[in-house]
Amino acid sequence: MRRESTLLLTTVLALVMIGVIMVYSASAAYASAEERLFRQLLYVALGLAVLFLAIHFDYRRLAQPFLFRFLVLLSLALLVLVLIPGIGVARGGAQRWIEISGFSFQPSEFAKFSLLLLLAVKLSQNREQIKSFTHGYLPCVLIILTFAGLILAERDLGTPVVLCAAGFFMLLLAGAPLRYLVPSIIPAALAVYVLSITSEYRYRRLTAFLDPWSHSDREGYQLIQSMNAFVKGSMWGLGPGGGEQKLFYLPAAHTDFIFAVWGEETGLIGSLFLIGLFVLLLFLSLRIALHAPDLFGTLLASGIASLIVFQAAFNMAVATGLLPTKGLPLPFISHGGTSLIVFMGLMGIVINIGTQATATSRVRPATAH
Amino acid sequence: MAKKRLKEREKRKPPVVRAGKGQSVRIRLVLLLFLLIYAGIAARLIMFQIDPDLRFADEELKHIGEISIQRPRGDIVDRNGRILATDRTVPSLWVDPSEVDDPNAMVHYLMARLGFDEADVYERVTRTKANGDRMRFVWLKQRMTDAEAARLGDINDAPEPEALHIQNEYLRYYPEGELAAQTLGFVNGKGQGEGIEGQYDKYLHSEDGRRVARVDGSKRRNMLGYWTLQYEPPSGGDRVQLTLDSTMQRSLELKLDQALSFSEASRAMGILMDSHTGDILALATRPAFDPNRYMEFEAAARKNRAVMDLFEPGSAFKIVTAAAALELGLLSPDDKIDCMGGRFNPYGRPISDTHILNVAPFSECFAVSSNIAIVKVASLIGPDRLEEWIQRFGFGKRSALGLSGESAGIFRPQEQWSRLSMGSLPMGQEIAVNILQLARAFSVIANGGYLVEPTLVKEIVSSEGDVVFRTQKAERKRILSEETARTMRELCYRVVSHGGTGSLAAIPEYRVGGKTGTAQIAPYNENRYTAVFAGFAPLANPRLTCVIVVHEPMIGRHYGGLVCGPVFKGVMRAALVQLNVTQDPMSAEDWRGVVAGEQGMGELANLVLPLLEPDAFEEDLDGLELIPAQEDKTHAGPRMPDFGGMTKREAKALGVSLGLPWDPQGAGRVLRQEPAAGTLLQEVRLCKLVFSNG
Repeated sequence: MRRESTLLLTTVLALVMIGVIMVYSASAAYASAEERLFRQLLYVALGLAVLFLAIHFDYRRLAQPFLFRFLVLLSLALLVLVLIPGIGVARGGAQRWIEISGFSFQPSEFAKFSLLLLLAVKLSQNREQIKSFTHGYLPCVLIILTFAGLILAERDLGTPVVLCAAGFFMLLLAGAPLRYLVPSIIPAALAVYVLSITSEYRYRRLTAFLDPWSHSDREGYQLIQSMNAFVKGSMWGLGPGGGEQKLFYLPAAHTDFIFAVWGEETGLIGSLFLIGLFVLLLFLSLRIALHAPDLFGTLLASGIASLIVFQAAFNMAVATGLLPTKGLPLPFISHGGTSLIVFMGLMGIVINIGTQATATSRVRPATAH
Repeated sequence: MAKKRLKEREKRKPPVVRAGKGQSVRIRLVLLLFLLIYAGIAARLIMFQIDPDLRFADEELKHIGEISIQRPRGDIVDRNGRILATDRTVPSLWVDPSEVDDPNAMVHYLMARLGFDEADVYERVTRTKANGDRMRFVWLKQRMTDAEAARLGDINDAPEPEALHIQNEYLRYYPEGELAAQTLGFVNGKGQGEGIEGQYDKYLHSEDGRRVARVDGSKRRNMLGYWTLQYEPPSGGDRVQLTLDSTMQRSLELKLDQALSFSEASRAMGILMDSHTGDILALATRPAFDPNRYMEFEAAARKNRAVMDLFEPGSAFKIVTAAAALELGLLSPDDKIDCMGGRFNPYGRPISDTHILNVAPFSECFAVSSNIAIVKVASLIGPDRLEEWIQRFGFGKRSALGLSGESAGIFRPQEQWSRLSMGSLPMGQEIAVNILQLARAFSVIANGGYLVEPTLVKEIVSSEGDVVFRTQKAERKRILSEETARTMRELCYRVVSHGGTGSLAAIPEYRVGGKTGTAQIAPYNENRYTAVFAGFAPLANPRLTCVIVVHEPMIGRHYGGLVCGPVFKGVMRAALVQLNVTQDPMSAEDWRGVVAGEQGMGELANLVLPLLEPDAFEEDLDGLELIPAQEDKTHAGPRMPDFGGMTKREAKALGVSLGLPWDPQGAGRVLRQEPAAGTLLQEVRLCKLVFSNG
């Protein structure tokens, strides 16, 4: 499936390039715009290195017990470390970063990779085990909840939601019975709701989401500014760099709300194009998953695709006012090093699976032996 | 071997678990699910375009801001461009109460620096709107003085610096303080002005422009330069250039102040005018006020009395009578007139002379200001022609200056004259004039017979550099023949040089022509006088006319020549030197006449001598050396007099009047002098005198 792999690589690079341009454009109002641009370019360089490393690294070796156990334990350790004051750095009320000599690192982004890897390894060992609630389904759910719980402790609700969703899709794709899966949605949704109304700032965000215009001074402000960007962008947009919302109207323009800047500057056409790129990414990844040499590859590729596309959809839904505000970056586009590098690495894994898949190797019955 | 090993490894490897049919279905399910989600987002995006919420349009209004483009009120400058009135930016302090989280800390900070009342400043930093929200803008201190601004220091040191803001505002500033204060006037807080400020307000006044443009979302709402929606340029603020010369103005004011303190008078006024163009170079009334602090002065002190106050010109008016008689051919300077020993009563009121003469040539009568002679001359002219000539000289009419409050003077038409009028008018009684009118009349004689229009404003230039107003000089009107004017100048010179009343106005390097005047102020029984000296210089080709008027000088020092002469001398000499006018020195013989005239004043002349000290105004000439322009090196100028046998006081008086720096040694009478008598004065650096008791 060389063609799919090549196209997927092209798609990823297109997204990354859009990201570089948009981060620069969205930072135009700040004196540090150039500094941000160079930082983003540095992240891209690191991301490309990881991407090509991953492309040339046989994904099956990730399933080696020693390697994946090491990665999972490292990830969990980091998630615990970031909670310790002095090691973890808090920004904007959330303690998500570990800072090392000027560069900050987000363990929760790395945790996405390790969780997907852990689930893929576990679920691909025995196809039938997942049918059992106590021996298959429940342990997986507990693994997911462990990760989600640790990240939730960082006062971050967006990433746990994305992790749970990615986990849910992994279980779905691995063949977990729908009688387990569907009821699981109810407590999960309930938990998110309870978390939303028990925290004051989340509650305010929720009410502002429901009626931004009555809270236009405060919580609703960001949402209104974001939606206004799309309205002003009209069909063809104000042109790259021509947006106005990023000039101190729209908070977090270069991170969580970068989609609005894109929408204002490239219009409806540009927004649909960007959605198209993510759909293409999903389509190609799932095609690769379908033709993967083994179940591990199938689950890993489809899980990675689900995670990225879900987070992108979530981010876009927030920017367009379809979901309450959660601090989630738009994959490949938003400013942020860890997220970009991890996502590029993940896409490298998918591309690697793609290069090993063959169009003829249709999904075969598991009775190979 | 190799094959075997490979096989063994194959065996050890766990079996490959491949994806099943279930995966195939579920992958398609996931794809479909996401396609639905993205379709939803796309639909939302399309809806934004098809049916946007109308409230977004209101939101757009917040993206439009307006700023005013400030323009200061126009400057007022002197003829050389020196700024007399300008707008200065001064800092004003305001607070944004919505940014104040700790009012007590802020109040403490402000009180320590600006000394506010605690309750008042607390109320300001916590002021709220009607809906309970904190206000965003409250003044703390408008137009801070330099001292206050210095005490405030850097507002970034404040506990909450983001709440405090400095905004620059314009404040009218008069850098020269009292200089020409009544002429310049002032502007009050509402922009209403007096003086030039008021009269030329339509030029000086400025209107701010405005610019409407899209703005960014920051708190400062910075304009987006590329997106201007509306622009109205600022207007007005033109620069008014006066004909005044600040150096001459200062010198005039300084000398008037000295005359005030010497004579204990209530008020002194003066004008220095270009004899040919009518440009007013200096116009002063003392005491004055500081327009920077105009509210601290009474309205009376701010009035431009130089153009408002009327006074009887007294003997200075005699030039009109004399000029008329000369022009009509009724008189020549050498005609003998019987001055009747100082007593004459033609109209039922005795007319007397201070300086008693019998039969004397008119030139002498004029020099000693004989009332009897001038009344006799007037009777030759007759009332019809006298009235006509008084009007010809511009009396009874307002000047074209248009300064508010300027008076036309009092001059009654002939029908209202009394039986006594022909005995009063010729010597400047029964008529009231202002200083401009008198200066104009003397300029007629000075410039060779033309009536000039006094002007104060040279031109007005807009901010864009266009000249929007320029004083148009009307064609000069000849009212006197060249010949008569020259004769009058000679007569006026005798007033100063031949032991006349104007001796104290004499300048060695420049021959001065002038006339003194002393008039009683009604009611006449109170012995209140106005002292006047009016004149011009240099006699050969007069450049400047100057009139000095002192109101109500102390009795005994109230003679025009005594009080006003030294002022005239100081102002005129400095001005001529400044203008680099070539010398027109007095001859030694004439100078003796001056000395004689001074001696005629007796002890009073000694009292006035301190006024003649030149050093008082030298400092103000910014290093300009008071060395008159030399006409010709070989020309015999005034020479060193012989001090031999003089008392110290006499020697000093003579030395100072010649502008000689002197070095006295000992006391008593002069024994030796160095350099010797007869040395050209211009070559004398220092006059060493050795006295008998040394």
